[in-house]
Amino acid sequence: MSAAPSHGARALHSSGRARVSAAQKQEPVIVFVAGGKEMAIPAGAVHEIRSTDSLAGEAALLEQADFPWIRHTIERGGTTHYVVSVGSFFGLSRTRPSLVLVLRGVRCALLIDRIERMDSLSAIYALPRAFQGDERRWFLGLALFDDGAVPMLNPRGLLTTEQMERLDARLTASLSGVPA
Amino acid sequence: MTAFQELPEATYVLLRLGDRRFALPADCVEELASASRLDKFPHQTKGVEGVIVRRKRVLAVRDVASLLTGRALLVHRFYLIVRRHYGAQVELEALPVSGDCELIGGVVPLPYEADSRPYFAGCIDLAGDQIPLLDVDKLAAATTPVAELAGSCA
Repeated sequence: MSAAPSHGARALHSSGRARVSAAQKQEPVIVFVAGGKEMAIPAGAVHEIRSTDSLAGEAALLEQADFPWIRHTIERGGTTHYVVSVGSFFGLSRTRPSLVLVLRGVRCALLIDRIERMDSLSAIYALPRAFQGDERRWFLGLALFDDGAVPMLNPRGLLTTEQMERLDARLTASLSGVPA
Repeated sequence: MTAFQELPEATYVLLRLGDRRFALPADCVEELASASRLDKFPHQTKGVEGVIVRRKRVLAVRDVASLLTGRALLVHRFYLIVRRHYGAQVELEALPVSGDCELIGGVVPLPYEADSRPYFAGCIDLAGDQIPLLDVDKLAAATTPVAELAGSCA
């Protein structure tokens, strides 16, 4: 795994009404590609970056028809993390993911194609109000770079509490051999 | 049928979607912008194509051509930047249009007898041609019915 050096995110100052962060402090972000689409995530939300090859022996298979975008779990610190295929979750084109981002503070890991670069931002822009679907939960907002706007993934936004509870119940049931 | 109400003489922007023309009150139009990069990302909101960045603001790009003409514009040559109201808040949105827009004044809109859809606020008669006058907020609401968020994310 390698991350290209920063190529200078546009500094965003107070003009944008859509800004959600006024702090001038630069926040490091990881720009990655999943399903052929660029997205970003705050670097602080990522606990560990692993290649899929290196996780081959650690990941457990989890087949759930209603969660086709979760096919594996991994154990970290005695807790189970659900590995979400980001491309599949968003219905993007089928690609070959090569990295897993294990997230901090949530029991979730992201299966992605590759890391595009590391960058830093002083602000992110709120999603325009025109967007009314689950994207308001999936994304913290939009990051503006020289080459366009990229959605900033909400580490807590992909799996709802209710979905996590369902997955936990099934996992417990499958481990005990009792159907959930 | 639109109930007749006498609307004040005002200025209107004539826009073109494919081979059809529509009008918008000029006071809800911020500017006409040439095509800029359309950024798309996964979402579920029907009628919204993506975003453009304009003067350091992120604007949603709303496909109104599909609703008004039955087909989306394949090529975005210009964006009409309009003011959309969300309660007391106003947010700018970009509407892809086919060609140059035209500013006209000195006309009084009439009821639009030909179509009763709520986003038609009347019509403007230009040399016998009845141009539908659009209500931006009702038009935007009609492109994204709250109960009909698209199922696909891509």
